[in-house]
Amino acid sequence: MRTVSRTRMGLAVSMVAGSCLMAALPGTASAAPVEVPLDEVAAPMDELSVIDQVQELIVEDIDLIPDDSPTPDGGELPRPEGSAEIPDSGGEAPDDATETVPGDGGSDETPTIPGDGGSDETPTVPGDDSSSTPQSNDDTPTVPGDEPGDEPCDEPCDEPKSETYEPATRTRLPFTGGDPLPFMAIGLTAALAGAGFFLRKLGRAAEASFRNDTETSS
Amino acid sequence: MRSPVPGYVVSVILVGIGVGLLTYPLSTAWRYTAAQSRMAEAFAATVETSDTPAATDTVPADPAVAVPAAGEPVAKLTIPKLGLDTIVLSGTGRSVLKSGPGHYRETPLPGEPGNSAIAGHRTMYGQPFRYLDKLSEGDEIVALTRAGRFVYKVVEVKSVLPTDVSVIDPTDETFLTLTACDPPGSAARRLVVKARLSD
Repeated sequence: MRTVSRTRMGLAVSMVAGSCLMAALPGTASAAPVEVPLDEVAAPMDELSVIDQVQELIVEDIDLIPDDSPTPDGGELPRPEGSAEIPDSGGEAPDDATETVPGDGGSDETPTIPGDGGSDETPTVPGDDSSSTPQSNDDTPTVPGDEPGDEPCDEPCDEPKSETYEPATRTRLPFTGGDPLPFMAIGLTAALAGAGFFLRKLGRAAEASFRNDTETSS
Repeated sequence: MRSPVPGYVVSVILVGIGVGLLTYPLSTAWRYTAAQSRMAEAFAATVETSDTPAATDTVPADPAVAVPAAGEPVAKLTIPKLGLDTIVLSGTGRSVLKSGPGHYRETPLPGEPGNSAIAGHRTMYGQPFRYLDKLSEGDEIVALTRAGRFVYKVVEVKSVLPTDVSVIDPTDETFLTLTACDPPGSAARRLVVKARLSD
């Protein structure tokens, strides 16, 4: 009976200590009251700091769009003050050498569709009965998409892009919380429970030894 | 009679788990201290080898210079009123913030024109921004970067929702914005300290 009482006492002490610490969880102990304007309150659940932290941890662990990564869709994003260019985020940036659609109202020097009544300087359709031959002049047809006066590009004509800053993709300010109390409360409970088990075993062993001694002596 | 071994094993395991959980918060502080010590040496080496003007004028961002890789030291932040002296790392990912305050990579570096922003832990991981709420208007924040030493003065301390990312939006004037979770131990809101570059 004594052993059982001791064991129960140890477990009870462990549980009471753990419960007391759990009762002192964040939001009730360390948190100073914060005046929150009613129009800024997103949800009553914001007050439950433990749930908040778990949610934050889950969101950050999933990390679908890392804080420090460029936007995955290559979309155009606002850039910060002082940035020379939006860093290349993987999207195909339009530049001067992009193709124009024939007939899209581009320059007069783009090749016209045969038979469209274009200028005389356009090449004639092979096999037509025109006596004129394509003439070489300054207005020779250019590759679709070429702008008048453009220098030929051996290299991609992308403008140099700055990598000074990353594009702004953030939708939440980073999680910088983390409360030690839950860890300490659970840890203390586990440690006390472990100590209780240990004492229980010691008590049983001592009791068995005592009984053996008593039986032997009697 | 049953063998007492399983009982002892269980108790030892429980005690081990308990001690581990009890010391976890301390281990985050140790990690922070070790990382800061390492980063401080690396940052000091880079600052000493460059010309460090004592002026408080801004320096234009150099488009040719790439953003420092995540986790690299970018500045040394000093707040005399709080006794804070910490190395700021590049990026605000979770692993970075465990080693020290992190610079929002989408904002200019401290000393550059615009709104430079830094996030830091308020609890655990060295809790560098633990007492950020003690700052008030006029308090000094000093940022030492490779470009120089820049003195900011606090103009605003407020609490916002985590989704209010407008606090790190670009600005015409030169600001330094510090963010941390608020209240301590909770992620419900964010404490924001805004400081303007001192003339």
